[in-house]
Amino acid sequence: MEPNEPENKLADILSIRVTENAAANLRTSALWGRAMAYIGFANLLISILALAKTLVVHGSFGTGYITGVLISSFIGFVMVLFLYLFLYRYASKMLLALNTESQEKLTESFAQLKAYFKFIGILFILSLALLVLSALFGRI
Amino acid sequence: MNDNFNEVTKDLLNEDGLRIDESNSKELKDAATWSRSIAILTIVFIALALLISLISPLRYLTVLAGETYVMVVAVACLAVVGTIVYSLNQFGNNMRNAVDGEDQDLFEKGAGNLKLYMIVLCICVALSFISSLYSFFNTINTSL
Repeated sequence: MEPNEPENKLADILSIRVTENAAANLRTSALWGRAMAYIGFANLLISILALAKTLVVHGSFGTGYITGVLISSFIGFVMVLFLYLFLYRYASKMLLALNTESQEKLTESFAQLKAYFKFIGILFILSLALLVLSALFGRI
Repeated sequence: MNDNFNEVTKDLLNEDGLRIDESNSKELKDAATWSRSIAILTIVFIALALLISLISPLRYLTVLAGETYVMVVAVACLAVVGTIVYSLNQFGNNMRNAVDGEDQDLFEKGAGNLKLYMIVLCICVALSFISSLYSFFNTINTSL
């Protein structure tokens, strides 16, 4: 027996358990999250196709305009891609954790959820800063 | 009574099933902190956007306020955003308190809040997808 085994056992007894009710809620959130990620990826594809079509139609607008549109769209697409990627990873790891009762996958899924919320939070801070800057120096 | 005590002890010592241990409680707590921050930032963002619209020389709100359709859409959007902000804030509060105080009930409530957030946001993303699909095929038809 390890010297600190009784303490570990006590910590285990006191720790929060993923009960049936909590598991059902987490499973539903993961299923909806995965569906949202799939729809998000499809939406991204439609946006890329729409952009391609716009560039074909307005191809005569000049290279400066097209480069600007391409760069801003690329940044937007990459951000949305990462957002749905974090969500997809959270959902798939959570479902795997619940199905196989894997403690490791549960930790990984919470890490992905943290990354997802952190990413949205940073985007919000950036948009807030842009809003304030445009209100102060721009014409809105 | 002795049987009941034994059953409870057996259940407590049962090593099967998932737990919120030291490593995943840290990740969960960080996720909860960020979700609460997003809820607060959303409220600040909306308040700031409304303030800018009110003081802007272009008078966005005055122009839009007369349209009934715009007002209905604005109220519906506010209700949806309100639900999302509420569920994010409750998830953040419940999970943080659950991890800090080892509270099983709060953990279950937090998981319920996360479920509500995912359902509402998924419906919004699906509606946005239908709308972009419609406008994409509409522009293709008009350009042909």
